[in-house]
Amino acid sequence: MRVLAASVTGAAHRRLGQDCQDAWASARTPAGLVLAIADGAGSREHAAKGARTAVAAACATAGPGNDPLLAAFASARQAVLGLAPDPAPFACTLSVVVVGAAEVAAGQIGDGIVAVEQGGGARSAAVTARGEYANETVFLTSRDAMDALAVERFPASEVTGVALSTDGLRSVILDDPAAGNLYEPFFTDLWSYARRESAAADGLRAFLSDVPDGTGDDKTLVVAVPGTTGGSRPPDNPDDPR
Amino acid sequence: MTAPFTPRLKLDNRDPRVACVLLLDVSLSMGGAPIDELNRGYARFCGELGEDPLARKRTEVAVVTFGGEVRVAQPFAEARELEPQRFSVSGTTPLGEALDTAMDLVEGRKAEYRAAGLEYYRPWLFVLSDGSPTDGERFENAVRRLSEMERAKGATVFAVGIGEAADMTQLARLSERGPARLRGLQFGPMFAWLSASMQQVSNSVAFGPESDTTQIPLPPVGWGTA
Repeated sequence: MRVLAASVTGAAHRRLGQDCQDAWASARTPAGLVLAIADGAGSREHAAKGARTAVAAACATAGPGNDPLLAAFASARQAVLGLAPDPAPFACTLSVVVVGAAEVAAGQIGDGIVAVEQGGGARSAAVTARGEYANETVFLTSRDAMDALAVERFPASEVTGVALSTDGLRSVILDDPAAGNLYEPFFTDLWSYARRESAAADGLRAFLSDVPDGTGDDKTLVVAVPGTTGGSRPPDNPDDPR
Repeated sequence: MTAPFTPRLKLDNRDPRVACVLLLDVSLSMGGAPIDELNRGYARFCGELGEDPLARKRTEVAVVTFGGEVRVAQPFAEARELEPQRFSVSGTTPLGEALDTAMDLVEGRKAEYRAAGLEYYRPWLFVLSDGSPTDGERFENAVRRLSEMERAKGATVFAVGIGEAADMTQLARLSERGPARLRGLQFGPMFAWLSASMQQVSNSVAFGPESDTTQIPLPPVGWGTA
């Protein structure tokens, strides 16, 4: 698979001099390609570190034998809970896709967006249950996080592309944010872009920097399509992103 | 050369809403300087909220006044459409009926949001009073209904006492967070704080389900004491 990915700090966080509280990572493991994104909770002190820790741990685990998706979530949660006796300041959401030889498994805790290209159309995967209010979500650090984990699996032979986004883009890539439906033309264009020889992470980054999202939130986009060249490299050290 | 990425976007999604109901005491004891300062502060609130690019579209404000009678002085309106108005004083303090009216407004508005497919944030009820409720049993029932609503996270309630005669004991029963007492007649700073808080809420993204607005970083309260 060819992977393109970028995170940008939102205008609101730049104004406050804050780091990007989104993070992404990917790894090629014996279980398959692992893609992870996390959105650090904006109100929490160490959310950026929580997000980076979560995606790094999710990508470091998947091995053969266990269910790689569930292992990724268990290990990410353990890693973030291990950062401090009170993990609340490290709160973040986490979305993971494992592209294995037989199946594509998607999982989410919180309000990220995962889309799978199947039969030429885009469908949202592993959508989590939502509360009454638009700004409420479950975090990886929440007490009942693992109960809130949504998982969905697809035969690998049917999947021709995957995409992950944090909620910073939701107002422009969902058709109906209240219902959580995808705005399909965006994903069609995203996968078709990723298949082009001249596509690169810089293209995604430029898009994320300029998109009129209305909120100034951090934004992250990861896309994977079959192919091997021209992919993004994740930051080597999750504590020291480039 | 990297190809530019210019996907089609959904640009006409509607903004999420946050409903804010102000319950203003306009009983006779508010006459003179207090009502003048309240009116000035409310005008400032309308102005400042109307200037924030997000809050002007997302915040919907309603005003319930109580002084002799209870009146919906301002039905729900987006902050960008809000016009300042001058409230005048009369009569007693039917706070119980005012609370019922405000809760009816909030519940009705939520139903309208749901019917319209709009996302929304937890509504705010902001109660200002300089005295004691004068509608005894009605007030008791309204407090029960309000506590139930707050426990179910149906709304966030703030209560502010004005002046020495404000019944802080009764106000304390309205809000899980405890009442604040306005410092002097600092309505201006108080309304500026409320406007800034609504801007924070309008800009807020994800908060945990275990949280309430204490986790949305609200500006410091310079206008009152706990």
